[in-house]
Amino acid sequence: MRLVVVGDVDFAAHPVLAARIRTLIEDRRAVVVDCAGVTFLDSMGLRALVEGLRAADDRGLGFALAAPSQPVLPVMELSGTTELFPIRDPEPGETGS
Amino acid sequence: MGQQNGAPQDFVEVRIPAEGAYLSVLRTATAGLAARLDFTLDEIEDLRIAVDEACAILLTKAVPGSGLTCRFELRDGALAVDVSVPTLDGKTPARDTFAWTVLAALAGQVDAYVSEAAGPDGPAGAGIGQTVTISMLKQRGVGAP
Repeated sequence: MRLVVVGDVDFAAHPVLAARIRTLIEDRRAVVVDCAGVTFLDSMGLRALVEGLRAADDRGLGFALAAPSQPVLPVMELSGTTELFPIRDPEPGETGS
Repeated sequence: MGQQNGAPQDFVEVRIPAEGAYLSVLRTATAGLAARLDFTLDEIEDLRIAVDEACAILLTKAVPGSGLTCRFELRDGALAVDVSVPTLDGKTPARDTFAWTVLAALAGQVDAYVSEAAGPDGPAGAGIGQTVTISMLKQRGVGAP
């Protein structure tokens, strides 16, 4: 399941992202988070992604990022989490939930 | 003009409800003020993230319904930012978190302290209501690692 994230993923938005990811994983779906439309990401948003990755790993499900945009990369690099996430190619024709 | 990090030139103070919904306002204010000081685009983005992280750290311990104050001090070649909020625990933030790691890497100099003044609900040291401040100084032309 491709989860398309658009906008600022900050303190205010991270619970929404975390809940969407949790729902998909509880449905036993592999998740690809499409980050092309992310305009800002801080450590709270990153935490939602890391928790999703861990929950997916626990259940043997795939969890990857697609098109991590420029606003996504600095926080991942500074926190040393860049290598944790498999990266998928973006699929521009597809729009998931 | 001319001396690096000289006397403060201007102060700007922004006060918002201690709620995440208003952080985008502070990020925008940060970018505007940094641009005024001729920071590069990369430095402006670093500052936007750093101020956001400091606020997010403090919001997790803020007294509900209180206000978060962000005070910018525009210097020659540097921007000093103090973010303060009345907290539930009256303690400085843990430094072993993603948020602090990112903040420290981006801000240049960063520190945190607890106000010595008593909170509204008890004497100094009691914790509840005591203001905690995260203080940072970003100099222009000093790249983040």
